Amino acid sequence: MADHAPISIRIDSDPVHLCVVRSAVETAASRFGLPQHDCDRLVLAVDEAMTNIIRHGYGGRDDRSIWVTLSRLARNGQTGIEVVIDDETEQIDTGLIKAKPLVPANPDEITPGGLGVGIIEQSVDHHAYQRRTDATGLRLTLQKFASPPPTNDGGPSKTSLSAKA
Amino acid sequence: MANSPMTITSSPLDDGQMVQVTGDIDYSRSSELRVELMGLLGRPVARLIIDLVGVNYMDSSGVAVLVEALQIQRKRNQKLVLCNLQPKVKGIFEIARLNTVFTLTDSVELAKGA
Repeated sequence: MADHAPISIRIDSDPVHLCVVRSAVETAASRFGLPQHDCDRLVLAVDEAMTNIIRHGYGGRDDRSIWVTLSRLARNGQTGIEVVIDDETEQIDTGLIKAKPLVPANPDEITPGGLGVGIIEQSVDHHAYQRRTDATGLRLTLQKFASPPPTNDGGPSKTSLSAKA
Repeated sequence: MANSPMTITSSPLDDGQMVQVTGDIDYSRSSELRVELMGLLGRPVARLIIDLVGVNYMDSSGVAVLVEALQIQRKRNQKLVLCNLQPKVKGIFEIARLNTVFTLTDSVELAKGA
């Protein structure tokens, strides 16, 4: 397999398959040169996105399709990975997909659930929701680039901050 | 990263209950955790310690279950302590900024005194 060839997966919308996609994404991201911390964040973002499709897009049905395509990216000497997640959910206004504030000022006002979109935004360098043009459904594109090695003080370098989309 | 089997066991403490969880907690598993915790919280538990040493992965559906348990404990003025969070689990708490909302400790012993 050419190292830059996209990897495509189709799974049924059954939550028991989430671990299969997590494993594939982690393996591909590692092969593409992302350090473990970045792999972990990307895996979490993909898992949250697929869970949202299953719960909200497909209403819990486990017999619908989800497609995941993994491609290697290179940008200004940085290596990265693009994950495209396609579904067949009803066309919705992508502007309505918004993250709720992760933590309200008053901890007693924290509500269970609804964290997924915010976690996706926080976990990748770029994300975009689009209506599919090839079929009915939604496309989510995620991009994650390898973080530069930490500086001597253990924090991220300025390069990694400026690279954040 | 195949899903390892999830197990949930509980044992009494002098002032409450300790729950030990193992296995990945994602959307396919979080409802099972919720049933166990809500059953346990059907009566007052002064201190609930949830030991996550055996949980290598958790998504927001698992976090939501823990938030629900925390709300119940807060309303009753009782304690919920999470301990032994593994790196990926700690990561989602940090991303969601819930590490400042929950009481997190690095050991069961510390959780007993938190």
